[in-house]
Amino acid sequence: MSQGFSDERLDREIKRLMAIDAAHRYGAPSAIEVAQRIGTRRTGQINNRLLLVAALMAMAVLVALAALLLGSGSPQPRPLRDVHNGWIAFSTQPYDEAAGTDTDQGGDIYLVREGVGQVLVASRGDTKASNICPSWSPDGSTLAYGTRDGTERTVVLLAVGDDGSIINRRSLDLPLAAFSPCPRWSKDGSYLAFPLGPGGIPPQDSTSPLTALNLAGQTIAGSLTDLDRSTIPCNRLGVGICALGDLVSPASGYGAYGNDQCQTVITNDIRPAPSFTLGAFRVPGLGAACPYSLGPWSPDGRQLLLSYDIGDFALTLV
Amino acid sequence: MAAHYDRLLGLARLICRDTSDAADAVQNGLEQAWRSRASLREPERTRQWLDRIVAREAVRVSKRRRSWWSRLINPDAYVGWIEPADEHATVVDISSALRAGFERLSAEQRAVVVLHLHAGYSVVETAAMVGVPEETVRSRLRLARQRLRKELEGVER
Repeated sequence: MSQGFSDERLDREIKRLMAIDAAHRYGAPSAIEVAQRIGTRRTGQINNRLLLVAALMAMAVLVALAALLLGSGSPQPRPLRDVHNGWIAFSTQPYDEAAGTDTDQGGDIYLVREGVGQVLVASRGDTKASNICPSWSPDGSTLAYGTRDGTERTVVLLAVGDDGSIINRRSLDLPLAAFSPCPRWSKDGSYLAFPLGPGGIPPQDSTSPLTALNLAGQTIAGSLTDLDRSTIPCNRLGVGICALGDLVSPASGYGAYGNDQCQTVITNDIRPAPSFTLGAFRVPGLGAACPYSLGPWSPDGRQLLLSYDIGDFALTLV
Repeated sequence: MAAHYDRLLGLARLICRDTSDAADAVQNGLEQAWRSRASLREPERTRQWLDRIVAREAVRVSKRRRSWWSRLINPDAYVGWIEPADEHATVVDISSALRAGFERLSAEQRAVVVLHLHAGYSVVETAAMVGVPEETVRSRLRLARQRLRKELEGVER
């Protein structure tokens, strides 16, 4: 009977059982599969993935056939944020939002349009102020970005014309507890949200609070948990806090972020709930250089700006 | 990272008792490890460092997934532990009883049992890894053994 189980024998039985259970795979993905997908939210069973891929391929063939039958003159989907005429905003300052730090070297904001060139819209001048995290409003009329200058944090709103000219400029003071000045637009463009950390320390998990300002600079009253987190891009990637440079494409179909293998990972797994990833696309580094900051998506969601050095950038078609 | 993955998945699975939760815990843990990689001062302690991160994450995931509210609103979400086949009936009995007992342990108790008895960390190391005093680790081990021994009562030898 079991009364004979001494601590030693019990421990031996527990160890034996745990060794069996730990080694049993239960259809879990292999180490190689997961190593290739480090940074994605979750892994799935390969049989399920193959079935899904096969189903998607079959659907793609059907869609292509349908498009041929309906004729090639059917209108293309209207891209979001096309009011910019293709203007992409980027900062010359890499900023690790997860750590709430930058290199304190100062940074400028540029607008760039393929085939046109770039326009400086926010200059640090002779200061070490960092102008970072530019983000277009959903309607494309306003560019918001954060500024860090010592302990001061502000967010700047620029009304930008279709030719890249600045029509209006105003600044909003951020609450002290907002560790990151990186603005996140709400889906309707009525407020900007910022992650909060105790004493300005970066939050550690997805339950960390947010603060929000309306466009008049007033803190939105009420419980912060009432905010629609699903409209905030960094949380839609399924990571607790914003990964370095993660962004969601304008059509919200893809997220992109840098991983520790000098790759830019583009994934369709951006739902707030854990889900099985169908796949991820990786852009390797440029030669020996890793992209030092990840810029935004193009307005039509087909291109991603990767910065390799200050003043040098690459447009990568994804 | 691939060299550590299988071990980490096994560790997380023993704590979570659910392969999907374990995979989540490992993924979350690896994300955390990547972000805080600058804090790893001694590369030779990578294994312990990763085990600590993943074990804590496994406890967190396990507690979140198995809250009474989650079970109430979605009782079928948690597929039970699938037992590997075992040729020896008596051993199966003991194994079944032990697994049943393991299910009834809290995630915190499972974590110390797994780290101490399975991964081979000392009580001092286990305490540091789960972030509790040594006495708490000893207490959890004692309670876990009591629970598991109770499950074995009546098992024929």
